[in-house]
Amino acid sequence: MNHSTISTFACAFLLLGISTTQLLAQNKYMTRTGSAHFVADGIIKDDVQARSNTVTAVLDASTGQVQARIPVNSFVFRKALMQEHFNENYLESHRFPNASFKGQIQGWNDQMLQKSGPQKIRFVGTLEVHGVARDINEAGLLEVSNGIIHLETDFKLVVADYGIKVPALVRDKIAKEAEVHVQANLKTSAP
Amino acid sequence: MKNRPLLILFAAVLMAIAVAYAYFRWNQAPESLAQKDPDFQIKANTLLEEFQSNSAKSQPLYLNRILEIEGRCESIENQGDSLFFVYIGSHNGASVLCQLEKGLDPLPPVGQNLRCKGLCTGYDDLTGGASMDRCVLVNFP
Repeated sequence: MNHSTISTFACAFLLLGISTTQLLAQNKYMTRTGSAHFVADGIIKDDVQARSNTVTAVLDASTGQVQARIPVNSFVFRKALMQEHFNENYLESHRFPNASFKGQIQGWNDQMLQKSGPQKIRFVGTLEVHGVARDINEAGLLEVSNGIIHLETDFKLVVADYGIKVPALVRDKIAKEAEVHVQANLKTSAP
Repeated sequence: MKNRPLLILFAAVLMAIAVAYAYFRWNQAPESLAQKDPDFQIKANTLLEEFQSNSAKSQPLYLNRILEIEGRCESIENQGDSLFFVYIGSHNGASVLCQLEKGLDPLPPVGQNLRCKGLCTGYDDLTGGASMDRCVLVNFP
C-alpha cells in the first residue's frame, strides 16, 4: 500500500468519523431549563406547591430514550419555611439531591419528528424520587416546531410510594398524591 | 392575688406575640441571597472540573451551599416572565447554569467575565454541568 492510498483511507476514516460524530450530536436533543411544577394541597389548603426551572432533559432521537433530572433543592415555594421542611424533612435533598427519570417514549419512530401538531405519547421507564425507584407508564405530549421538540407530561405521584414520610401534625395539609407537571423544550445542543 | 389580672394580661400579650411571630415565620417568602456571604468563592471552571473529576466528593461539599463563582459568560437565555439564565464558564463542553433571581436590563454581553452568587443545586450528570438557583450577579451592571 503506497502513501497516497494510506492518505486516502485516512481522509475517508476522518470524514466518516466527523460525519458520525455530527450525526450522533444531531440525534441528541436536550435542555437544562425545563420546568417542573407540583401541587400537593391537602384537605386544609395551604398553598403547598412549588416550581423548578432547571430541569435537564435529554432525548436520543434515534432510539426515543429519555433521561431527565430535577435538582430537588431547585423547587421554590412561596413560603420559606415550607421550602425548608420540604428539603430537610420530606425529600431530604442533602441525601437525595435529584429526582430523575430514565426511560423511553413508547412506540418511538423517526417519523414522529416529521409530524406537525401535538402527538399523544407515553413515557415508560423508571422514576426515582427520594432514593426510591419505581416503574412508571405516564401519558405525555410531543410537539415539534422550528427544530425544537416540546415534551410534557402530567401525572400523579403517590407520596408514600417514594418513602416520603409526612408527620401526623400536617397530614391534613399535604395531599397523599401530588399533581406533577413537567415540560421541556429540547434543542440539538445546549451549553 | 392582686396581680392576677396583670398576669393574665401579660400571658395574653406573650401569646399574641408568639402567634404573630409564628404567622410571620410561616408566611415569610424565601429570602434573597444578595446580602448573604458566600460559603465558597471559586472559579466556574474549577467548580466544573471538581464536579466532573469526582462528583461523589464535590456534591456533598457544594450542594445547598451559597457559592460565588467567577467565569466567562458563555450564553444567556431569556424565557420571559422574569426567567433569565446565564451559563458561566466552560469545561469539557459544560457550563454552570445560573438561574437569576430576577430579570436584568441590560443583560451582560456574552464573553464578559462575571461573578455570580447563588445556591448550588448540584452536579448535573447528564450534561457534566453544575447548576445554581436564586442567583445574583455581583459585578453587573
